[in-house]
Amino acid sequence: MAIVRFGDISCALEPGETVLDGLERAGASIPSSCRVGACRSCLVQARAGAPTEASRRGLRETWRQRGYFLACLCRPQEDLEIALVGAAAERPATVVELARLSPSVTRVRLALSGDRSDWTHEPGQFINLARADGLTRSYSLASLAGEPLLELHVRRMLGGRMSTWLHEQVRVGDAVRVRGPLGECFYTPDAPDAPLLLVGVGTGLAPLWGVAREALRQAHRGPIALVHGARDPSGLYMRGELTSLARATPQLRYIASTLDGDDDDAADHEPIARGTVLDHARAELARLGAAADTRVFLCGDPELVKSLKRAMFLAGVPLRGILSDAFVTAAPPAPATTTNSA
Amino acid sequence: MTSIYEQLGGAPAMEKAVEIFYRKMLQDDRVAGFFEDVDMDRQAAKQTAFLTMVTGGPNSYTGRDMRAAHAHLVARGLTDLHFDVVIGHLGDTLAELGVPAELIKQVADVAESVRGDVLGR
Repeated sequence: MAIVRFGDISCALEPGETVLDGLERAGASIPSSCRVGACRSCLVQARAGAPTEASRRGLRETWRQRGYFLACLCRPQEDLEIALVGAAAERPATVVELARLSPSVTRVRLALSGDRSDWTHEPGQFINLARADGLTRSYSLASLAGEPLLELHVRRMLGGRMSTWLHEQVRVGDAVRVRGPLGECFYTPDAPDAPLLLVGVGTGLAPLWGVAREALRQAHRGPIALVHGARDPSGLYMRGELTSLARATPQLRYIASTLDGDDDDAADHEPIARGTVLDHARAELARLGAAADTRVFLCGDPELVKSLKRAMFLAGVPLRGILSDAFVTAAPPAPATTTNSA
Repeated sequence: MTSIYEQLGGAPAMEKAVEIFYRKMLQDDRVAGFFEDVDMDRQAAKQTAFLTMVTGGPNSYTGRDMRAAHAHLVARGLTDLHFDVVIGHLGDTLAELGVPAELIKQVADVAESVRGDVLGR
């Protein structure tokens, strides 16, 4: 039976128990959210002992070397001494702007408190946002590194504790904490002529809005197509901004796609393209040019991201050319209650 | 004698071969089901290790690894038929990359040597 030590706490794990479960049972407070290895909220560092391979898989090499692992995936065979990860330390921040972008999406802008000279992020990465009481959820960053505020797009989830709070109760001036940046879904300037295909559903637009603007800021030369999908037109948001940007930027195509519903805003915006996001993604990939050279960014619902990834790979995009960020919804804390992660 | 791995071009060639090989598997209904819920990047890494091994490149594969890695698939019904399909796609992949038939035969023989381990026998 493995013993896990964290600060003053020492805990003998029960068979099959994870480091996260065991430490929580022993009264420790470890940041966590999805508990399935996706959000990386529970990234911790082994100070002594070896974490399991399963809890380190997919982490970047520099992290592995420093003993980082995910507490929610680790069922250790040997004793461990762990610490919270300093690199992703929490920083205090303040809510400074709230705007309703659609009936279900609120834009939240945050200001990091104090000295932010050591903060840097790539648009498309995500942060873990913690409320004063410790409730934590992941949100993608839509803002550029040089912009003074961090921008998040929060979709209201039915019964979601954090999203309901951010839609209804939070006030400008409220204090929160930010941990990050995390994630690998961002633009890199190593292939300036590559076609870029950005596909997202719902608030999967947030990282893509960041990635598209960052690519343009870095003078990307290849064509860019951004496909934003929703079930019906009320799920589309920022159509005005995206339409304006696409009209002002010849290399950028914007495709707003829904399965059904009447389009009331057609006069002001790019008309809505009917059909599935998958079909539009395939069509745009073919239009952009050589699939083997195309960089693809996929964000949003995990099942859709999975099928898109497979479809793009089968259509000829190399796996290393596909970056994805699946928005895992946090496990419900109690029956009939769901929580949000976006 | 240089290995087929070296003749093909080493590690970069393996990545290219895996792209072809993996697409063939995903599009073949006889075996695609085994790949439904796997992480594609991790799966590609495993296939790279496999192709490196069967083409005589640097590897640390052991029969025990093969056995452990496929036990859950055997439980889901992995049989000789599926193994034959994989060997077929492997040969087709190498043929597309211009590997001569006699060398493909050598690679298939190496792959055959792990059949028992993969199928848990």
